[in-house]
Amino acid sequence: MPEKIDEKFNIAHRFFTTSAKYPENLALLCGSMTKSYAELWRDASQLAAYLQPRLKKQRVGILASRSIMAYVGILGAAVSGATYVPLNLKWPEERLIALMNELELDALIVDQNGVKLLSDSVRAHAPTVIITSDDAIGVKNSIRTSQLPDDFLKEPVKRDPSELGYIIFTSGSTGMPKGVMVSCASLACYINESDKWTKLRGDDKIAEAHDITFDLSVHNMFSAWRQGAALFLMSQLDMMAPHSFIRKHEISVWMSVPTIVNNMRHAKRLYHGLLPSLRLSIFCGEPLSIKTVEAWADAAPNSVIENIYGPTECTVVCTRQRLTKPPIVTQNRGILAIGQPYDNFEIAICGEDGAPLPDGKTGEIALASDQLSIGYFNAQKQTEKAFRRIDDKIWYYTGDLGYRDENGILHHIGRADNQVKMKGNRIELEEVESHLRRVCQNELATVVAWPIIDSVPQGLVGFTTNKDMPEATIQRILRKSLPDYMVPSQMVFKKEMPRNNNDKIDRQALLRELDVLSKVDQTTGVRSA
Amino acid sequence: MSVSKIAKLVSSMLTARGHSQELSKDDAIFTSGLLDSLAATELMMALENDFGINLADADFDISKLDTIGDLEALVSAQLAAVKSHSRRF
Repeated sequence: MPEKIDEKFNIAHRFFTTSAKYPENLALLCGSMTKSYAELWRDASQLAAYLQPRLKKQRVGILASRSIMAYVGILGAAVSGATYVPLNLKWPEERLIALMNELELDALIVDQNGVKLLSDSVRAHAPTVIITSDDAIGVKNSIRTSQLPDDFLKEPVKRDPSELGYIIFTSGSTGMPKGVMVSCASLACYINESDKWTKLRGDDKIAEAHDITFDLSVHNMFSAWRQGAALFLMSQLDMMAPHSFIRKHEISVWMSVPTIVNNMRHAKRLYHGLLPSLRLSIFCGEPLSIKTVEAWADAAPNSVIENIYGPTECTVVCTRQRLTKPPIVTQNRGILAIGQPYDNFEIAICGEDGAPLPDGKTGEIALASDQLSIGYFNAQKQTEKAFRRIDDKIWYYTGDLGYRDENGILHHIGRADNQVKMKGNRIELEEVESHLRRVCQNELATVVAWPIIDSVPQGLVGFTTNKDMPEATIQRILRKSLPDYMVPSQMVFKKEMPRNNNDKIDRQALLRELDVLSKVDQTTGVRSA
Repeated sequence: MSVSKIAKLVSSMLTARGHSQELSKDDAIFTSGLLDSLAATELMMALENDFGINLADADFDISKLDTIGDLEALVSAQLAAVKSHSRRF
């Protein structure tokens, strides 16, 4: 159970106590702007005072990211007693509208970039209470932060442990993303457990490389707020040269998906001793190749490196493996193991029937813990399918394949279904397919992740059997309903789809074809696919 | 390699991502969220490979790449440097 300090169960409670303890500490840096803990508390408690009487469903949308406003919004929503719901700035209009309809938000917090998404049709479905940052262009009938009345909440509103702290969306197989509902208690469990090994200090400088729609951001902000550490928000531009950002700000804690390091490595940016300020580096969200992690270790010689694993449904992460000499490698994969479970987790490797398998056997990873999320928002069926009650416990079936070795160390080897992770974005291929089928008006449309380099998928390739619509047109129409990262970068037209034994389209055969075609390309120089 | 080519590259990236509005030379393209980090990586590779600009200096200030004006200045500085270099030999 969470410590005494979290008894009020408001996820902003620890920020509140930290800001009283260390008011002068730097809380946030974004470009040339900074906020101390006292300033951030002031802004959040003022926003909360405005929000509190306007709450009905206790849900506040955050249409903002990588900005001071995003964090004021998250804190303000939490302090007011609401669940915060990050809305992805990369979502197309159609999706934003669909999700706003479903979420019934009480209010929307919007920054400079979020405002640009508030078209007339989005506004028609958005909540009537809209609070924008001062640097945003004007929105009719909205209020700017500088216009908020001079009222402040004295402390975060008390919440029940089972109430929701946040809802974060992940890719879903029905064509719409699934909203993972995390309770205040689950988040408190997570932060307590993580604090045991991150051992953050008030003088830590933590780089935030990801959007608030990705739950690595949950780890960074709530861990920082517990100790009075500073979050340094990276802009999209800073992401072009993360090493420069780390050096410029003397960042001490880094957390990201491995792809960012792969990019730096392939661009030959990493060299010995490049990042001396780092004391802790955390990787998550994708397989971490040994080549990648060793290049990072060489560049950041003063840093401990941890590989952590967990689906959003378990509340951020649940296993951890430190980089050791020699590293603990997953057999035949060239990747670092995912390690040992958190103390508050039971982990089982299950066969196709859902029953546990002995050590060494590969099966689906299932998790049981107080830290598990509650399930999917407005999706009872999907929740029951993934969260199964066995005896008196709920087990979450992750859809990830793995095994436990003879030393009790867990290894992750891929997805049981067709869910892939690309550049930190979780994509269910079936979701992309459902849209591709609609656009092509053809059931014989499928999507594979290809090529796979260092165990990480690099892109999506779509297949269809009708050639009457050009690639660019398909992509243009898909972009109306899917974020860019889910639109196949290449379309292949086939007379006939290969089928497997169950008469389903054989993705493996398609992948093999792509491999063969790319080899032909290399030898003849002819682009065939 | 010409200065106008970099503006064309940026505008093709914007079109590919479904943005159709005209940009002025000092509109922020990355910090405004118009282009994402993937596009940023693509652009950075083009600056190095097609324009011969060396961004490898670990302390290069990346915020100098946020507008078409910034990018054009960077490219023309590079072109001038190449020119004076070739004159010397």
